[in-house]
Amino acid sequence: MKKFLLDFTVFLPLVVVISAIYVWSFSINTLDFYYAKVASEKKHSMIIGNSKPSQGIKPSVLNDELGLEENQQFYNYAFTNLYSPHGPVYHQSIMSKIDTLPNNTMIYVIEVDPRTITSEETDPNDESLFRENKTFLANVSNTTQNPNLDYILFRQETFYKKMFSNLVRGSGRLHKDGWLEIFVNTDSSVVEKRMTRNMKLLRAAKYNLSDKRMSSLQKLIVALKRHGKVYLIRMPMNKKFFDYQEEVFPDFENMISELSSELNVPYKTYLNDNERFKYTDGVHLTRDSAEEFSLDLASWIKKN
Amino acid sequence: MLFNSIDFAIFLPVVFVLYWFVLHKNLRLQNFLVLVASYVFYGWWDWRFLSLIVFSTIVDYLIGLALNKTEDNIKRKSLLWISILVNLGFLGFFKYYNFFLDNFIAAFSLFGTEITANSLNIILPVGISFYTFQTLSYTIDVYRRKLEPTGDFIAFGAFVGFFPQLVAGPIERASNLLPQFYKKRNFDYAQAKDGLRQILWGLFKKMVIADNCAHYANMYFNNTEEYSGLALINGAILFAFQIYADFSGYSDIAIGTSRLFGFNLMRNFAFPYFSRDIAEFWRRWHISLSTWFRDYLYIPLGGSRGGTWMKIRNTFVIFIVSGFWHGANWTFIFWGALNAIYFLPLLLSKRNRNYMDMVANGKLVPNLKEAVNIIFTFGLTLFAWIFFRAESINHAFAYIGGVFNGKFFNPDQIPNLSIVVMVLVIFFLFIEWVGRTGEYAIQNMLTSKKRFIRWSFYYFIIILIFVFAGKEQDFIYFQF
Repeated sequence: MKKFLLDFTVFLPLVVVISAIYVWSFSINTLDFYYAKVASEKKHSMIIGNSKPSQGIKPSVLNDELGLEENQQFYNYAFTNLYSPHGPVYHQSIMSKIDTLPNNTMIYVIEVDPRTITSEETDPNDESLFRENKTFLANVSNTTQNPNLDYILFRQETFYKKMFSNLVRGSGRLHKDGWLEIFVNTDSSVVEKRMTRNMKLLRAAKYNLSDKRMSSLQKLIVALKRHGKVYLIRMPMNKKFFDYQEEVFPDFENMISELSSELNVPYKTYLNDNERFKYTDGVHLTRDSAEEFSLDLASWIKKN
Repeated sequence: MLFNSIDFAIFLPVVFVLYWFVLHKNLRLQNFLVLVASYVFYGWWDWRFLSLIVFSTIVDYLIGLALNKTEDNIKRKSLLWISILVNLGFLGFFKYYNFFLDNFIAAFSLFGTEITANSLNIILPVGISFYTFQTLSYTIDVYRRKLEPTGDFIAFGAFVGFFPQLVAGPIERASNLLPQFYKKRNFDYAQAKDGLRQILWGLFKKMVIADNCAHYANMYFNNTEEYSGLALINGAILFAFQIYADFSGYSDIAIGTSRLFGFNLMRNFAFPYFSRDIAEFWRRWHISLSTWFRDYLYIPLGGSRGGTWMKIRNTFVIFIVSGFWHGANWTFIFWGALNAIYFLPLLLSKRNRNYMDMVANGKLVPNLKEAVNIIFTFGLTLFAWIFFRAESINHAFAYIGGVFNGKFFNPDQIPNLSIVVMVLVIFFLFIEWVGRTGEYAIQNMLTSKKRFIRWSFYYFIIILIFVFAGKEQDFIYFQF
């Protein structure tokens, strides 16, 4: 037994070192695009939504334009359609992440999109079937722990995939303020190809409007209003995608307008103001357009 | 609790320390610890199902004792049947109720009679297919007087619920495992070291090979109509390695863990994809189940004695039941029948025992004939796996049809990263080939070399696990 324990004791330290290096690697912001979001301290003002605001809204621009103090500054806590549609999972994650001040001076920008209030399941109101239940966001109990072992052990994305896709290909970088900067080829032919693929995926999916998700969005707005000002935005996309959304969700604009009136939160839609921006794939803004859009957003927030 | 989880990583050393440092002087207490640890392990999934395994244990313990107390053949047979009915009854209800109900309704509708019945929302208790067979082996062996019944309930409970192999085998025989609970276990350095090595290899198989293959296999099987022939073949190959690495990986971890506690479990896999014919494949694949069916079903039916028709009947019965054991779906039955069709020509021509040794024994590479046989046998099993994996018979045929319909070669449909997985599979096959004379691939690897070299290899495997561990998937045999 002594020999076994001695061997084990000698073998183990290098395993611990390998494990530590593995855990440390998650903090490399070009390797993992989500880890830092759930392994950092509580945040103040927030950008909430899916991959459109995750890539399309730059907190640094908002912070500068709005002249926010350090303890009010924005953090981009948007993820993707898979991880962060509106629902109990995302709601809980947001509430566990926000840090509030007594004078309620925070600002919350919530991006609204039909896809974040729909479910692909036949019963869109069965919360147990929500797609985000099987993702890291539902399995990370603490969003401010660093290192975040829940996230690391969950293995939402495999390490070698991240190495290849993110590190080797250099496809993106997560900034300290949560903005996800994506580096992709923006040649028109390549963009066109991506748009065609995205439209095909969009048309193939079956999205059923979920009352539960709408209710979750409502609850989130009410909860956040206690700590500051809430703004709703419908971000710009290529007209083809908006046209498709209008085709399958014709009532969406009215629903959100009514919601904003009912809850007395400003709402801005870019449904008819999307031509001036450029997109990487018809849905996500390019880096330059993200800058331009963020300035536009800041200007609107100032006026409202 | 999963073997590849933090929960188990904490559970195992705690049990190990209590077992060898606190309770090592008292065999009964040590067995009691194994029993409690096993129930904690099992209850971690769902404590409600503990009642089933406890009930099964009590019934078979009492039946074992009762069998010993009477010489009356009718009484003994009745007791045996009680055990069979209780164990298979639970299995039948939890696993097959809805299947039989749905098919009953479908059969009636064929005659133009529509009947309605409510299917039940039944959760399948993890491991029920395994532990019911394990405990049945006890009562059957006691009935056959091959085994003395035990009066030690703690030892018996620990045997039935033994946590390393409780939920996915190997399905142990009472005659092998139960006596190990009666004897004092002394810590054996070589055995424990071997156990850790086998656990490491099992984790590599599960986390690197199986989980990565699963991701792409699921992609191809879940969207069959979108893929070209080559992609679908790729999907079938990936599934073949997923199921092998997953299941044999679990067995390796189970056997390795048992060794840490001084127990020797039976081997469950013996490099089946190096088989030269189907008969050899079935001697090397899920050995604990195939030998269980051989000893408790095939031989009592007459085995391969008797006339040709009896041989054919018995072969089909054994393979179809084996298929059905895997799940309540016609795909499993079809898979079993297909394997019976593969096996029968060898049996009937008395060529089913041609290859009893390891292929290319003592040689570096197989000869041409061996290589062709290996590839051909793999091809047969690959074809059968399509049915095993498919959601339905129609899906299986659609998958096979998809290989030949439309465009065969479309390299855009093979994701770049699946090539990484194929490289990992090739590496895995290489290690398995080199280590094929051991009980598991890395058992004897580099053991004659200096510790530095050996340990470097183990660290390399650990690094591969960290870097290449796939997205977590349930152990595939949990659903059986």
